[in-house]
Amino acid sequence: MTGVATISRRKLADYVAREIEAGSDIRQLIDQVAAYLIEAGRERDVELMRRTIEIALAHRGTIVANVTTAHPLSATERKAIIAKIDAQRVYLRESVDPAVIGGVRIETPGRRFDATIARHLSRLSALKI
Amino acid sequence: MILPLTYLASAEAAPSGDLFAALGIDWTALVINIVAFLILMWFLGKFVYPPLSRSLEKRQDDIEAAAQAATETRERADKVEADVQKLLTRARKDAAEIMATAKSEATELLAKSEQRSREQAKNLVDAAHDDIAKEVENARKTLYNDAVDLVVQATARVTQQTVDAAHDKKLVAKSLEEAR
Repeated sequence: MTGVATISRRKLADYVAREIEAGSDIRQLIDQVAAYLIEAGRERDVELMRRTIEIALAHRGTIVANVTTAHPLSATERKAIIAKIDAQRVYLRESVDPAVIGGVRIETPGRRFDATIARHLSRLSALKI
Repeated sequence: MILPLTYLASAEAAPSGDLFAALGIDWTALVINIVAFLILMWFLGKFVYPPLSRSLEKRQDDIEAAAQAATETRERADKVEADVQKLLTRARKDAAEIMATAKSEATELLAKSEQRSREQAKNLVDAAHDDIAKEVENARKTLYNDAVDLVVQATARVTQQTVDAAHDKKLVAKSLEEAR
């Protein structure tokens, strides 16, 4: 028994999304959620919680997109990506991974756009019988 | 006994002078001879002929019985020979039928055996062909997959060396352009 009231993941995600939309301090919100998960013994739910929050934000018009490239993005590329993601607000979570070799991979809640060379090679490799 | 009586009659007939006497016949001797003859006949008929007759009849009966037995034996022998011939004929016929049946069965068995052997050989050949075809197909797949792997690995190495930041930017821009 932890003594902490159990809050469903979805309710917690809705709360965080609502607070972010209202302009609350994101870092402080994240700290609160992390503290709650630790106290509730649900540390394993961190990744799942993150995704649920992103889905809740997407329902409210805010998209958090994971962008993976082989080289750091330029400002122009960022703009182009944001323009491509048709949403009220877009946050990019950028990561550089040389394994993709080239191109870009954009992942949003419910969608995935992969134009990396690694993906093309993977499709080529999938032609094996 | 007859000879002395006849001699006596002839000796006493000459002096009588009648026809019988002229002929040399003495009535007394004749009668005596007749009586003696009759006695002889009676004696023979009473004591000699019956056993002789019985013996002859018995002999006749024995001969007839033997002849009958011989006839019966011959008839039985003929019958037995006929039966033997019949049995031999039937045995030959049965043997011929058995031989024909055995030959027919042997021929049929041989034909079936040949057919089975042919089918087994065909199955073996078909199985070998299938195995060869599968192996060829597997080899082809392995070759194809190895070729794909080589292409992928080669392309990855080449692109890792050739795609620099400038190329990557063009690639990203093109990708985003095509995504619209």
